[in-house]
Amino acid sequence: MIVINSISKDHTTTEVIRWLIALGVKDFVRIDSDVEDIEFVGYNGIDSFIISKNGIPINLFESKSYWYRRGGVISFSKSKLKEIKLSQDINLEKKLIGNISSENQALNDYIKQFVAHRSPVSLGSYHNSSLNKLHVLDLARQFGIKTPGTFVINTKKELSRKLVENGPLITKAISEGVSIYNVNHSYYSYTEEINESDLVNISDVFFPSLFQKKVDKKFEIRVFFLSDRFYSMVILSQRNKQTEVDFRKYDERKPNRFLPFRLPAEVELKLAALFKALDLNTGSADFVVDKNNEYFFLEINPVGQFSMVSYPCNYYLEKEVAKFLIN
Amino acid sequence: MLSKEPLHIDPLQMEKCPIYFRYIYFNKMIPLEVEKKLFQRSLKNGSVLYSRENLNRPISKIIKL
Repeated sequence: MIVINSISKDHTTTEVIRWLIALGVKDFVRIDSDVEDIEFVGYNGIDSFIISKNGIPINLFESKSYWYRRGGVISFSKSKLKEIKLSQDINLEKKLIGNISSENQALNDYIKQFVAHRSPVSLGSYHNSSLNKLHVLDLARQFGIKTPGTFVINTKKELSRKLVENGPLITKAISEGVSIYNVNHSYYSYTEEINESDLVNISDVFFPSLFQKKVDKKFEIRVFFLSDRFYSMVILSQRNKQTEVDFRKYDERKPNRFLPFRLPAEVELKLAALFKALDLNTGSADFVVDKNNEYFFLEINPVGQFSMVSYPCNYYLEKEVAKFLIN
Repeated sequence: MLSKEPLHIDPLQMEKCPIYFRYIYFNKMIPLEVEKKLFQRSLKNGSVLYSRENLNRPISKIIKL
C-alpha cells in the first residue's frame, strides 16, 4: 500500500495519483489533513495500527511506500475542541484543551513517523516540512554555496547604514510570508526591493526584519530535487518591472519565459549535500544567477509546487514521483 | 466566519510589524461558488477532488494595499 499525506486542494498530489493509477497501482490511500474523513481506530504495537477513511479501515503496518507531500494535523477528536466544555475556570479550561490538543498533535506526529519508518520507500518529511530560512542559509554557506549578504535589522539607522554599504536590499519574511484570504479578497506578500528612498516611510524602530543584498540578476532558477536527481528551470523574470524582484508577481499579459536548465555539477554536488544535511530527499530550491555567472542560493521549500517546473520543462515530475513511490 | 472587509493596517501600528508588512498586496477573488464549480469535482466514492495547479486563489491582477 502507498500512503500519501496531503491536503485536498493540492493539485500535484492529484496528478501523481493519476500517474499511479495509469501505472497500474490500485492500493494507495490519500490522507488529506483538511478533510474530516479520517478517524482513529486502534494501535496494538504489534501488527495493527488502524485508521479509517470514510469508514474504510487502513492498517498502516501494510504501508510499503510513503509520501509526505504536505498537510498538518488531523483532528481525532469526535467533536471540535472549542465545543468541549471542561471547567468554569477559563484559564483551566484553556490548559485542559491544550492538553487534548497536545495529545492529538503527538498522535499525529507518531503516525507520520511510524509510516515513514515502516515503509521501505519514503519521500518527503513532515518533521522537516518547515525550515528556518536563516538556518538553511547558514548551512548552505558551510557547504560552500554562495548566499546573498543577509541581515536581520530592527532600526532605521542600521538599515540606512546597510543600504549605504551594500546598495539596494531586498526584504522578505523570515518564515512563510502572508498568504491569507477572506470572502472577497486574498492577500499576499512577496520579496520587495528596499532603497534609500523608502527610508522616509519607515519608522525609527520596527519588528526585526530580514534583509538581503540585492543580487544584480541575470536570471533565476527553480530546482526540484527528487532522491538523487535535480530538475532545474530558468525563469527569465529580470526584464519585466513587475517580476524583476519576485517572479510570483505574475504578469499574465507578458508571462516570463521558463526554460529547462542544468545546474553546474559543482553546484549540484553542494546542493545535494545541503539536502542530505537537512535530512530531505525531496524539495525545491531557489537560486539567482548574477551578471558574473555566480550562483546565489536563496532558500529551500520542502513542500513547494513542482508542477510549475514540471509543465514548462516537460519533466513529467508527477510521473517520476509516482515511479519513485512504486519502487 | 470570514470577514468581507479588505485588510487595513493602521500606519501607527506598522512599527510593530516586519518591514515586509508594508508591501502586502490584495486581489479581488472570484466567488467561492464559481471557484468550486470550476475546480472541484466529485468522485464515485463520495470524495471531492480539487483540481488546480496553483494553491493560491484565482487572481487577475496585483493591487498594492
